[in-house]
Amino acid sequence: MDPRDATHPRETSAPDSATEPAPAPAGSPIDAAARPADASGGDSDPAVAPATAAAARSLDHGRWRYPADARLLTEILASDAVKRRLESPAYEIARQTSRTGMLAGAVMVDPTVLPHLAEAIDGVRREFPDIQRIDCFVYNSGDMNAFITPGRSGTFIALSSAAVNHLDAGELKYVLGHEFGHALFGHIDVLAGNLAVDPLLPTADAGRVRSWQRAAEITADRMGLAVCGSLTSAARALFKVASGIVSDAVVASPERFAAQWQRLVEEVISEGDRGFDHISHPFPPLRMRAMLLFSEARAAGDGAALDAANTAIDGMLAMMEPGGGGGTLDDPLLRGLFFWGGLVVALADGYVSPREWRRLETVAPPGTDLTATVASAAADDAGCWEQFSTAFLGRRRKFSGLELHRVLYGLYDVAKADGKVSDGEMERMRKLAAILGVVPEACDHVAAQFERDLRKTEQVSDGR
Amino acid sequence: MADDTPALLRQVESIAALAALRGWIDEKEQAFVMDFETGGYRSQRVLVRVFALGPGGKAMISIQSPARFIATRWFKRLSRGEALRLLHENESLRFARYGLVSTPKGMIVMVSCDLMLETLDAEELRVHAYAVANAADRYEAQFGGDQY
Repeated sequence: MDPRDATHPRETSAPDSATEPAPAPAGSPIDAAARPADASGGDSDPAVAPATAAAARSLDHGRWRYPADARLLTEILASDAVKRRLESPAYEIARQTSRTGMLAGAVMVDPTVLPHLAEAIDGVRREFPDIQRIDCFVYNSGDMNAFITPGRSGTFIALSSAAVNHLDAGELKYVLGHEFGHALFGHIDVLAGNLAVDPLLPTADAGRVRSWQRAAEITADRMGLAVCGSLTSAARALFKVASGIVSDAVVASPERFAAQWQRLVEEVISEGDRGFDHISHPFPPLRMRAMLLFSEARAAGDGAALDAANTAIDGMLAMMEPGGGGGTLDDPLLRGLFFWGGLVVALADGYVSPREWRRLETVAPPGTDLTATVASAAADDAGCWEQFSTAFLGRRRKFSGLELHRVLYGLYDVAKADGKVSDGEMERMRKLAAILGVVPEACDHVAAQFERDLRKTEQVSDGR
Repeated sequence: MADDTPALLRQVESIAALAALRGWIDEKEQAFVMDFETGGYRSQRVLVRVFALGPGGKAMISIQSPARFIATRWFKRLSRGEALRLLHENESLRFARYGLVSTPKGMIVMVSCDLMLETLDAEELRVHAYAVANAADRYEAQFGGDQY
């Protein structure tokens, strides 16, 4: 393994081709306090305007942190198995190796000889004024990459030569801000890359580490955005890294880039793909969409908007989880079955109760007018049955037993939302089960399981 | 892996529910347990245990059913003839295998089969669990018992 992986491998983007390649001379560490103010201005978006020095310093980084990042990191660090591994000699060696590996394979550069890099580091300094000293290294690699690691007397940041060669100042600011975001929130202390493949760690812990890595990327992207102050620069950097296209002619519209997300979702659902849980980074269009949502929420200026954006991002990241988001109806790959099947079940009593309605709202396809859909289905539910069948038969990959169970469990959850499940609702569940190729008696078993789980949950919440 | 066992057993329970198989999670045994009627007023207990192959590997299940206990005392042990017969029967067995599990007091003739949990579907679980239960019960019946 490349010793650099032991720390925090990260992507960077490429500078524009007009920039001279970095000559990589030995240089001196940067004292950011000595740097002149950034005069670039550039293409700052109003929504992320705090790239200006005074506003940037006043940013409440903690409030920007993506909540799942903090929650999952707390869970991971509370795990005894993780604690044992992080305290083991193997991990101390990994920490040391990452530093020595960098020193052995890279050269320290004085950013003053690379104006665009100096400008980017100034931007970082303004956003993170507490950082005392930065040592900047460049290593020879065609991959656009960057990572950060704490040193004894300061912070080491390492950029691949491709990143320095192909990224302009704004893009470098995004990349460096992203990396410093990782440092700010303690992401790099965890050695996540090692934990995720550690054979001595329980699979569930390793999976949680991967989930957290993806959540941590969302936080780091927000910090990158704070430093570069431009969605356009962020989009260009992400696009260059993902595609490898480094031409000056790259026009990466944040909105168009983010719009790829919906197409990706449709493809993943129709394919039935679930092989994304081992990936440390979210899909690039997901990251772009998450930055867009965040930027819009900040522009709206209230906590509720940020909460809504975070909830939407939770749903997007659930697409990369092996079993969805963890809640009964949280599996994005089964959302169509939950919605159309849930509607069929709920309407067995002739109406949709307010609680059933709230359940259905969480799984309604994007753009659905729920009021109109329910009214139409109440008059004639044939369309709902058809949509349910289409959602099932339209998938290219066979449904696993666990997925089918999740569908029936979710449908029972909708039926039970109003506190009772009628015979009519059970009968409809059995018919839906038949469409899924499941024996009707399975519905009774799933129902019994649900009721037992519910009693356990109630006992726990009652403190019994 | 030990920490994952409850969650994985819960997954087994879910697929069993889908197959309309009744059972329960025995926390002490670390297994999902089912009792099968095998005809003629006989029954057979089947245990599903979980394990993982390698780091971050796929979760597997082992469907097991004990068929006979053989105490390893000087006068009572598995004879060469019986061992050969088990080998012959193994060859003709479908969806299951005979094996010997050592315990401090003796050996258990165990019928078992292994499957991948992630892609396991209800029908597959049902067929294999029945196959294991029937093979174990058939072997046990040859010795006149119905202990398991």
